[in-house]
Amino acid sequence: MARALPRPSVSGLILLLVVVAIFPYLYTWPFFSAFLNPFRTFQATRFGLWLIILLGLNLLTGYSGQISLGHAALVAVGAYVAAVLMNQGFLGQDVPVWAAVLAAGLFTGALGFLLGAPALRLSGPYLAIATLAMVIALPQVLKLDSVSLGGHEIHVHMARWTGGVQGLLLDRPKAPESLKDLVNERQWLYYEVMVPAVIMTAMAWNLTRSRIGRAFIALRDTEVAAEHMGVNLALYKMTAFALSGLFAGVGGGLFAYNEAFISPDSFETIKSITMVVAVVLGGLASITGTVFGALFMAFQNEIVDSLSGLIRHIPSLSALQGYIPTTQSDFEKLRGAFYSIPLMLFIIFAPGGVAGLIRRVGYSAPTWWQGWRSRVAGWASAVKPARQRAEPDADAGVEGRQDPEEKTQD
Amino acid sequence: MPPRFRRGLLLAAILVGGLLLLSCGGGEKEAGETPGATKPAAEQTSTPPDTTGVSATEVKWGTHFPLSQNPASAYAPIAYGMKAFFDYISAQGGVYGRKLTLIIGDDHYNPADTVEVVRRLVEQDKVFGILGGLGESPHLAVYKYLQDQSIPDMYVTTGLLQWVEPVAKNRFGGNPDYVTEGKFLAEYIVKNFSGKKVGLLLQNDQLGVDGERGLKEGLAGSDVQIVATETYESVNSDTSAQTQRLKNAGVEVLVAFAMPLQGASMVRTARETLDWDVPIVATGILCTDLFIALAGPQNAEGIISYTFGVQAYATDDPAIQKYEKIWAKYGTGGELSNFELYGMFVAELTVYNMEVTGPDLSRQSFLDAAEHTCKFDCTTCFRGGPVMTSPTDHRIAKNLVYNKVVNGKWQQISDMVSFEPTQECTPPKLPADFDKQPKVGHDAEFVDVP
Repeated sequence: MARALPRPSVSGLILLLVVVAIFPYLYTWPFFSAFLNPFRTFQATRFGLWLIILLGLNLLTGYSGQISLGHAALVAVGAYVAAVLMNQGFLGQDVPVWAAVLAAGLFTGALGFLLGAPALRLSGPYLAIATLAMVIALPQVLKLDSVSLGGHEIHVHMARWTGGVQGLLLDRPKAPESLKDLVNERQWLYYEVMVPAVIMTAMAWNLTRSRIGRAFIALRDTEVAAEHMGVNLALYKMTAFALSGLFAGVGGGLFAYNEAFISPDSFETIKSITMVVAVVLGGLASITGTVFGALFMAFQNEIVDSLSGLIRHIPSLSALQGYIPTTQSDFEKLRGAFYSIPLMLFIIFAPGGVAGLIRRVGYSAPTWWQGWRSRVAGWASAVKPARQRAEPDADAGVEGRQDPEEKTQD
Repeated sequence: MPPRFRRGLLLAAILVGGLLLLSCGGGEKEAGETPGATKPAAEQTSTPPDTTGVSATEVKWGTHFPLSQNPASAYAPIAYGMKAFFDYISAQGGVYGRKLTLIIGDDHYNPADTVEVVRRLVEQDKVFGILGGLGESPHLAVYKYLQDQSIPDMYVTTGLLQWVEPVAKNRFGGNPDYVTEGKFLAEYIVKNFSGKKVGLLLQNDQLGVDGERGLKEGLAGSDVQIVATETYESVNSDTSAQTQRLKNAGVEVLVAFAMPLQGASMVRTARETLDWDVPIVATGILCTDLFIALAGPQNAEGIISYTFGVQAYATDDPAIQKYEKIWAKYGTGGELSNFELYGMFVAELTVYNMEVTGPDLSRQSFLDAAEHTCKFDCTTCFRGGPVMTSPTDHRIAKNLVYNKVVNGKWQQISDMVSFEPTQECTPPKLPADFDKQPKVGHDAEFVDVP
């Protein structure tokens, strides 16, 4: 049963927010210029996008226990809605970015709510199959031009809206005129993404500690008991899907705005499965875990590259050439293995994800420290002169004390 | 006030305060922004030469390929072929003393990842240009970015017409575009299958769309008509249902714009399951030994396709022998296939253009040289069909030859058909040390560097 992480102090939170707020300008300061540059701002923006998307997935899969392998389909829907609105406007009017993204979020949320209905009867692997079907079918729907039914051609013209197989190209995002001197394009994009990301993280955090959040956790842990406690299962299951749709829609809309391009292949099956992997890696049912999951999604390529680079630099390895990969091309050919094997090992040894690891260290560290203290005190008493040992009262507390470390074995 | 509202207010106050603080601090323009990021392309000529990625000892190139997580990673050997050729040239001392490096970025054939990979190559690794990026949707996600920054986008490894029409200074097409392919195949059909009914098997993406368009244009006004069209998604490898439907529609000639797996499935279904000996015309993608092996040599007998250069199976051709030696020494092992051959083809062209540019290598001067390639006789080019480009024509593969499967192998069955718009060009003024650079082209011998 997941306990809440120890609440970070308010000052820590403030520091974090300040760093997030000034991050795009940090690299101009002397100390930070060593490892920060405009490309890192781009990566931070991607991280923000993934954070929004994965928050939705964690709400659905982590907190509500409804496994969804089709989250990428909702992201794609959100991206397309926002892209079409930004491209073609609505009823002849130009649609500003914030309106398009909001509309995308609300539309996808509504879609999620409707999709929650079939999910009411399904659970576990069956729900996984149904959601997987969603993400497999969506690319074809997006490319659809006409369908022939019984010999008749029915023109759906979806491709006219979605750009069909080629996808949609949008105008490159630009900062508004009034802020032209303060932010360039990249910094503007960073704020366009980070501000919603922070707001939605706070929203998710609040949600999970509210009545809705408790209902989610209840229906995840035991549906029967939850129903007995008066939780309207149907409503909350559909709400979980709706919320995941809302987050996915906003994330997808911002993605489309950021990259100025969306295609049916951008969010496909493998991405959908990778998202679930990221959420599990970070830690299910944990906001901090989602942050780590988003870091994984944004940096996975770099992690694999550094891993292979690290191994290559072990000096004695060249002796084993021919038995294990040593050259650059060997690593490129075995890239899949370098991606999956560490993943497997990590999940075996840390099934609670990164958040679970933090939890374990966070709780066991103080008790571990206490255990050490008592052990050291025990040694100290063992070397005490004999006359002091004659007085039983003084050491009774030390030797007779149960080792606190043993009480909290996970 | 409940604690959560207090926290929320605190959060909002910090955010607003932070933003106000920033705006009061005054605008510091980023110093490290890549030059010309927001300037329109027309202003580029007035800026100083862009020598990103070029140092006294090295030229860095980058590319994006699917190396994992997607069936399209079967095309990864193209990138290894490029790298092998670059290593071969570097072993001989490089171009004007600069060694050639190729950084291969893995984008999993996913457009969102391609954006990340290409941005990292351009902004972090600071490559000179992108060579042979693969994938229609993946490259669509990044081509605008490369164009806006005037980064060389050389010989894109897909056949979308829009890479070369409209022409962009920084971008060159690699594969012959699918529309031209369609027209080329249509010519053959009109000549040999007059009056027949044609059925199409198309991949449900730009390959299929463009191929169909080219075919229709080529068949316009003839007595050949398209009576049935079937599509499949690139993630599916079984096209037996589509083949059955095509047979039911009374098709007399089958045309396929498909990938090897799906094309082979179609051939097997037609020949074995349906006992249907319909003539099959296939896209050049299928003109490989791999396709014959997948479809079965008996079944593939008589299939028509085309190529745009000498193929890897022509092992008695000295050109192929040279490339086999290069691959054996600098490659990743295994037999030379058409994929690696194609990689070496574009790499050789790039090296030639760098040699013509001369020691003062910059992005602009390189692109100038690349769009004035005059009759370069590349190693895998047909005799009489050298590579030619011009400022209005950024295609490199315009000389096509019909091929047919005879006795389980592809064989040339026609003379070269040239789609070259003009045979005139002015030979470039070669720099002083051009002759001292590693030789490339059809007449260059293999140089064995110990």
